[in-house]
Amino acid sequence: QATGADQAVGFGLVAFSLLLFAYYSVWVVVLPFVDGDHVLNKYFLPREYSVILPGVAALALLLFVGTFITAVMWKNRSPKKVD
Amino acid sequence: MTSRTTPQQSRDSRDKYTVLLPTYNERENLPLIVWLLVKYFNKSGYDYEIIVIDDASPDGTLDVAKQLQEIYGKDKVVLRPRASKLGLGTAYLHGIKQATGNFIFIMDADLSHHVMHPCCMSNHKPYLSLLIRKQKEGNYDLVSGTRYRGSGGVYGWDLRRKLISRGANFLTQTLLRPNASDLTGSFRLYKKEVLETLVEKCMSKGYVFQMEIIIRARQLKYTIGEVPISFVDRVYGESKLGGNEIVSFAKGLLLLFATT
Amino acid sequence: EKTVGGLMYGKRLSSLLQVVFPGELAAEGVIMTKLMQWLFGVSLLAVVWALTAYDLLDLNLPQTYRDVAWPMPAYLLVSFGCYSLAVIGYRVATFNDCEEASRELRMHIKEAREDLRKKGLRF
Repeated sequence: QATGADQAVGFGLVAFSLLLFAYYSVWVVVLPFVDGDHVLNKYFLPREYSVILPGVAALALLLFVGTFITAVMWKNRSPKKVD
Repeated sequence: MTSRTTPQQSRDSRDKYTVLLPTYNERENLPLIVWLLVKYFNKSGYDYEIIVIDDASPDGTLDVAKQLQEIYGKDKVVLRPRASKLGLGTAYLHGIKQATGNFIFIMDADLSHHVMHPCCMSNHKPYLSLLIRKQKEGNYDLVSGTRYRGSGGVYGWDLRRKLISRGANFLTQTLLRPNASDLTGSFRLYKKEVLETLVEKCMSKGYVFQMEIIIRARQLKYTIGEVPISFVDRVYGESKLGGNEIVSFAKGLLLLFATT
Repeated sequence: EKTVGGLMYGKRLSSLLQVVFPGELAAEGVIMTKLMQWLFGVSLLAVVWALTAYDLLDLNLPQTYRDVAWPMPAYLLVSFGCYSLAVIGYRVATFNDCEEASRELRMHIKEAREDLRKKGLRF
């Protein structure tokens, strides 16, 4: 019994990840078995991007985590809070 | 359950439950939680005591605790104050040493756990009895309340908080593979000697302390039972989940990941 | 605080020792830490991947097999990411909001306040 908005976001996440997984699976696992001139190829970027894009995403994630941690540490270091 | 005969029952009657309440600035909450505990324990007939370990709260929590002692009696409300804020782990150790019960309840003094009624559940049984019953059912070494399973849940959390909490829980489950679904909750029932052993092995603080206890329990092969509970976020005062909490949680998680 | 840090350092050191001298500490009943289990699993996968993607055993695997095997590390990462997102999303969507619990708690608090005041507690 979650609220409507939370449910929408939650199930939205589920749908998004399922779609992403399906698309990526076709790209990486199915496409190599398909002829080079098949129409399916139109819907996918060249093969090397299947590694480059996740790599970029992973880097962005790491960068985000890194900046988050440094930001928190930085805040802790500057003015000492009076308790 | 009904087939259990006299030896079980005679052992039941000797069971005593000690509730450890480490407090710091809980002047508002303490009387309410004690009132709820007393009401429930009296109704159920279990033998009990409540140990308040106050770390010299500046808001006069100890003063309120003394009044409660006068109302409910020195054998029911036991005061074990300490001179300064020394942390959760040592507070539990300090409390265990004074405990006369063979079982120990641990909970926050801030009413987060809504002791009296489980929500989202049709039978209106107090959590205390649910935990006690669960413990007897499997003779578990510890029984943990869980927000993340079955009818368990929370009140007063926004989407951000839910996302972070679910994410952190998923990460923890993946990295540490504990035998419990709620690692950071703090409403639990322990056998006294089990808690004593566990607390001595733990060295972290705050959220991470509750997590470490469960991980150590897995290491020492203690059995764990779970009961779904609803968690009503602090009634008075605020519970914080900011950058600091997240980073220190992550640190604790990684440390446990590398060492256990 | 410092003693806590010291203790933690001690633990870290002991886990380092477990890596260097697994035999000696195994006698004490020390098990593999979760970190080591992960490293072990990942290196196992890495070996299998390298063998297939670069055909190190000279099994003359068809080129398509190798084409599929080559981006497998990225594929596993993406799959794991999707799985995590789906699980977290599902659990957020099914996280119970305990309205009733909060209402009842409020009721109990009122009752408690009145009763305690009667018993002479000064809040």
